[in-house]
Amino acid sequence: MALEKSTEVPKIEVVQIWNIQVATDTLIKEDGVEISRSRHRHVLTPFTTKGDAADGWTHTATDISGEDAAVQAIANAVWTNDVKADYKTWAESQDGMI
Amino acid sequence: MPSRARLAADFGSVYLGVTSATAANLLDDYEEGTWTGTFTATTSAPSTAVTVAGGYTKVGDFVNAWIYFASRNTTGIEGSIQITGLPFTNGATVATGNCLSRYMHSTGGSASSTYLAAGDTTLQMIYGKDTSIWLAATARVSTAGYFVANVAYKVA
Repeated sequence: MALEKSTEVPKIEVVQIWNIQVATDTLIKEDGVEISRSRHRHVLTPFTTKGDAADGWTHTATDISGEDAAVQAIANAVWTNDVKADYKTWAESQDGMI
Repeated sequence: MPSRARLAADFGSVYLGVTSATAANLLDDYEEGTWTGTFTATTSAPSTAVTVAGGYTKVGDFVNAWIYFASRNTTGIEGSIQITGLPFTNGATVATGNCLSRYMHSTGGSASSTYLAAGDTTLQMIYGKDTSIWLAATARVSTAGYFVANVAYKVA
């Protein structure tokens, strides 16, 4: 009886222009037959934004080096300079929005 | 007795409670899973990242996500509370949920709710007050804080 653990990315979706939604499945196989599958999700944005209008903003680029190759390819295609600029504008507009 | 469910043409979804293909009764997605939530704040994050696994259930286009941070060290945190990492992007409508904090906030301890802006994936903790705007709760440095939250929203 051989157990094997692996991951795959069955879904990658681009929503709201810059959000990349990623579903990652973890599979357990016994002698090549799938016996378990669980899902983890995360959403990537171009930057992590900290700060406020009074003290200024810091936009830290999202590190996608650990992402699946397909996710990296999509991020590189979708996150153009214009999209990145739009994201920064949107993120800063959230300050005091409530 | 007539059937109360009907398979859609793609066999991947089902019309529930009806015998005809009615869009309002179409269930086209169900999913359970986990997400990684990070407890942080608008100005600066804790010096050591505070992350835990949360859960979610998505039925159709509606998702309920929850998370529980237990005995977490938030040293270094500053600004308004944020929980990042929600599993799906919120749709076009503001969403809310419940939250409780112990030692992880310095203002807004009563009548608090989670708040998720349209198009966002970051939760905030807000509280009602007799002012023109809702107010975001401020994070507090703690060596053993607790925070539990949920939010239900329609995905983008």
